[in-house]
Amino acid sequence: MEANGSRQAVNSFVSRHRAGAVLVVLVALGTIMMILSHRPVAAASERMGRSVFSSLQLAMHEVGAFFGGSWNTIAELRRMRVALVAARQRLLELEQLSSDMAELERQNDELRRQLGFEPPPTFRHLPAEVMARAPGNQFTNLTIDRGIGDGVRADMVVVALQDGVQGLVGRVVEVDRRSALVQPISARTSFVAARLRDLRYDGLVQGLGSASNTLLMRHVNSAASEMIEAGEPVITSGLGGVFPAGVLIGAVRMVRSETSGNALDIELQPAIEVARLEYLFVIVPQER
Amino acid sequence: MAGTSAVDHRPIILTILLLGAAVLLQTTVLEFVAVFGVKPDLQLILVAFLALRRGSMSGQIAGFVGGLLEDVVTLSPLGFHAIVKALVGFCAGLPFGLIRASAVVVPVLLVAGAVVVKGLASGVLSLAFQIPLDAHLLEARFWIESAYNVILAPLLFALLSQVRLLRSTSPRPPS
Repeated sequence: MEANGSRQAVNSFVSRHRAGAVLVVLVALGTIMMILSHRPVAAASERMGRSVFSSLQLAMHEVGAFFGGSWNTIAELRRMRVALVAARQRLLELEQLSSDMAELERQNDELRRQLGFEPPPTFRHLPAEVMARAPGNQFTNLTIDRGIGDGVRADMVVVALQDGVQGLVGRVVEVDRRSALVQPISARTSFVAARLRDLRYDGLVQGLGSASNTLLMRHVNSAASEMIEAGEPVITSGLGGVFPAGVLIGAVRMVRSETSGNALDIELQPAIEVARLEYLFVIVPQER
Repeated sequence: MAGTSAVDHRPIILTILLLGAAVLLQTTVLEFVAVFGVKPDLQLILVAFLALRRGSMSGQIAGFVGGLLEDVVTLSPLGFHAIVKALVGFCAGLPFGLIRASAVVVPVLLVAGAVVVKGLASGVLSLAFQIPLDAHLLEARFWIESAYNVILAPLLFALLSQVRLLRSTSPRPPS
C-alpha cells in the first residue's frame, strides 16, 4: 500500500512537472554523451552525422563564396596585385635557394647514410580549401574539403602559405569521407612542441583561443632570457612525433614579465592568421 | 474520419530543418557578417522563439536537437551544446502563456535571458568537464556575441512570426 502511494506521488509529481522531468532526462542523456564522446561508437555516429552535413556545408560554402567573391572583387584585385609583386620577388629568392637546397639535401642524405641514420621522412603537400568553421564562438575548428578518400588521416599536419610565408596551421583531428576537422594551433586545447630556431631552446606552444592573435610558448629555460630578441623565429621541434620538425610557428613578440622560476613564458606572433585562412595544405607522409 | 486526432508532424519537421539551416549558415556564410570575428547565434534566437511560442517542452527538445547538430560540426564533446541549448529552450519557455508577444521588448529581454543561461550553462559544463572555451562569461567576445544576438532578436522574431506552422499552440492552463 505504501509503495503504491509513493509511486502515485511520484507519477503525479512527474505529470505536474512534465517539462522539468523531460529536461532532467535530456541533461542526463547529454551528460552520458559527453562522457562517452571519445568512445568508438559515439565517434562513429558523430562521423556519420558530419559526413551528411559536410555536403551541405560545401554547397553553402560555394554559394557564399560566389556572392562574397563578387562583392569583394575590387578590393580582392587590389590585394592580389600587391601579393603578386611580393610573390614574384619571393619566387626569385626561392629559385636561387632551390638549387642550393638540392645540393645540400644530397650531401645530407650521403652523410646520414654514412652515419647509419634512418633516411628522413618525405611528405606531399595536399591542397585543401576551408569550407566551414565552427558555428559558434566557443570552440575553434576549421572544416576542409578533403577527407579519407583523398588520403587524409587523423593527426596529419596542416600548413598554409600567407604573405609569402609557410607556417603551421594545426592538425587534423577528425576525418570522414569527404571532409576533415582541423584543430588550429590557436585553439586553447592545442599544444605543440616547439623550439627557438636560432637559440635552440625548447618549449611548448599553447593556443590562447581564436579571439587572440597571440600564441604562448611555455616552459622555456630561463637561461635563454638574456639572449631572446623580438622577431626570433619559433619552429616545431618534432618532439612527441605529432608535428614534423622545422615547421614555422611564429616569431617572438615579447617575454612575459610575470615569468618566474626556472622557466620563461614567451608571447608569439603566429606565422599564420587563422581568421583569414582560405586555402591550406595537408602534409601527407610518403613512402621513400 | 471525425474524431480521429492525427498528430501534425509538420511543425517538428520544419523546426528541425530550420535548426539545421541555422547551423549551416553559422558554419559558412555568417563569417561574412562577423563583428570583431564574432558571429551571432541564430540557433539560440530560434530556440528562444520556439520556446516562447510553443512552451518549455518544445523549446528544450528543439534546443537539444539543434545542439546535437552543432556538436557534430565542432570539436566540442558530443552533448555539450545539446545540454546548453536544452536548458536555454526550457528557461525561454517559462513565460509561455504568461506574457504577450511584442515587437521589440519581449524578443530583446528573452534573448538577453537566453544568452545569460547559455553563458552560465557553458561555464558550468566547461568547469565540470575541464573544457577550455574561447568565449565565456568573463570575456569580451562573449558579450559581443550577446549584444549581436539581442540586436538581431526583434528582426528574426518578426521573420519567424510570419511562418504559420511556428505560431503558438494553446497556452498552458493555469495550475
